[in-house]
Amino acid sequence: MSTVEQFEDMKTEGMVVARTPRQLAFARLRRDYVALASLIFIVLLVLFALAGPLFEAWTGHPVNRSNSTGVDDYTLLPVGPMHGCVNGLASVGERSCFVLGASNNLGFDMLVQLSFGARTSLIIGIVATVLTMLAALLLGVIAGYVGGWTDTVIARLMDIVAAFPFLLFAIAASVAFGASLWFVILIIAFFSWFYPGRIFRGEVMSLRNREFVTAARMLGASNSRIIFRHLMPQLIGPLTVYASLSVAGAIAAEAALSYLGFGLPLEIPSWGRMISDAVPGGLYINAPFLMVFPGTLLVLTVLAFNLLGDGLRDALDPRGGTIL
Amino acid sequence: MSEPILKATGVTIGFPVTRGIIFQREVARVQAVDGVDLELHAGETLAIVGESGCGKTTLARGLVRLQGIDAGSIEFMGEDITRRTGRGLTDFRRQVTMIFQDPIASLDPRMRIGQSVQEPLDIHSIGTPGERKRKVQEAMERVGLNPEHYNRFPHEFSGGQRQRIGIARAVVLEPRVIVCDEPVSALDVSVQAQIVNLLEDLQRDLGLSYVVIAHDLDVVRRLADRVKVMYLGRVVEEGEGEQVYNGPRHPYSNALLSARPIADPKRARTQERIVLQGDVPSPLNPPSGCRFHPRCPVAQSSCAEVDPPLEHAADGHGWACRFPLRP
Repeated sequence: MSTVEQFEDMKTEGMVVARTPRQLAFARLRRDYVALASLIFIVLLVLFALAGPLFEAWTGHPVNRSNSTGVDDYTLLPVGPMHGCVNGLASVGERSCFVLGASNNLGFDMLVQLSFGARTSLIIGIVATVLTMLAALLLGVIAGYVGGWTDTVIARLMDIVAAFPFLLFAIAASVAFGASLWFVILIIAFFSWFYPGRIFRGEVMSLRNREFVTAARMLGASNSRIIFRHLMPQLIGPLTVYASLSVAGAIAAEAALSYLGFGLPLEIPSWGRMISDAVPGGLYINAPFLMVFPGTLLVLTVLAFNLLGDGLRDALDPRGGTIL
Repeated sequence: MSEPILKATGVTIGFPVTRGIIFQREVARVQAVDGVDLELHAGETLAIVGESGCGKTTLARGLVRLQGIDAGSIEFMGEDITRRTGRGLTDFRRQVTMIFQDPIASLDPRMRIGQSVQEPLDIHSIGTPGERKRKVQEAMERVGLNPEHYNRFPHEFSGGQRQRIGIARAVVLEPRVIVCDEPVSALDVSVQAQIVNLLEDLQRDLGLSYVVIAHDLDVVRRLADRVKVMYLGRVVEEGEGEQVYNGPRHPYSNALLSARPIADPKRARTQERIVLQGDVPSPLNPPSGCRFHPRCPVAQSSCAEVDPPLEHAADGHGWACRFPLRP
């Protein structure tokens, strides 16, 4: 061994410990305060959504029952001390308590509705994203790896889906098939897979001809081994980034559909519908918080997932600088 | 002489030139390798030299079945493996392997090097997990790597060490033949010598046969028993290393040899350097007759018409030229 390599060995053994790409990414993410704040917001949002039943028990307002006592009829805000916690309303011993007022003129509790709405948004965002990413991985990797006619067919399919007007198609389909939770999830996934799909296709196309893939083939690796052992791990970066962005997109899409009245059925709380409920009769003029509360939560949630996605993109960028 | 371990006959490899986006049609074919014969005997090193674009890397990829061949056949230990697929091809891959030019590009950046070296054992299901790990560490030790670096990533190593990882991955299967595609040209000169020594040691210890693709003639001279010089997809001269180095008969080999840098400035001043005119012609449209004639310093008018075959002297030295240089 030459002195140069001995020196190299010394360097790697004693003083300098090299970090894995993952460790570097985490180090960069820890420095990114915007992404970190987004992550904290998302964690708080998840806790808020999980706390739904606790809010129901505390306020005495089940999510789908109206009860406007304790609310000012004009502003829909809580009245009285303790934000209008009143004892013995419907039956003896029952307690009713509004904290953020009523969510509409039927007297649904704003806090409970917001919490269950967060649950709906997160479920739709995550399930739709999982479906989106599975479809994008499957079709993108096949198209990029196989190439030729298969690629042409899948790539054109992506173009066709991309060319569909989402809202128009979703409204028509909602009228035709009737809206349900699964319908909303499937329609959102159907209109989002093509974008990450294109990214994965491009990545795989460029990776396929890299020398380490050739080397694996040379050693006798099967196609499935090359795909799962050598190609898929390289996609973890873009997958994480686009998953985060896709959650934001799905939440916004669900809110838009529900706002238009073509989204979720009435028994499922939704931020989008809470906003639209404030519109008839100019309710929001007397009670602007009917829009402000769900609207702010929606904007912050979408923003948080988008910013987290951007932060992840920067953190996972292999050209990103090193952090000591 | 014994039966060759690897034998190629009339190997021709072409790449289609296509036009059109959706409906691609072939408008021409580039002949990267055109009717090359090759025999590799057990324990010997065969070098293939030539300038960029002469088809030597394509030939190497064809030999190991990474590249489909249009015509000709490849035999390994007397068996035709040209059209083998599936199980048969996997068995061939166990015995014939390859070392790549760029050691960092040929290692999966997200795999620990132990995993990379172990991968061939996993693919061919050799031994138990414990035995595999032991074999990997043996191979790493054999190529001069610290087996304790098993869990490191490729980016933590220097260029020379990375090439050692690539070599460890090639020898862990105990193959018969290793095709080395420019094994040292991506490395610093100081490291090149170490890798060349390592390749020689491995050949002696493991009884390997090498096909070495290179453009560095000095490296080839160290390693090779026999040399083939390629120009535009064809072999223009072949023979024992010293035959070609000391008495090149083809004007192209001569020009190639004269272009070698010489370490001694006094000798370099007196050395005559033959500078070829022009670039390598496009293999899409090779020159008529002898493919070298437009750049040849000794070409005559008839060279544009007659394509000289590869002819051999009694000592095995062969050249494809109608007006060979005097030895």
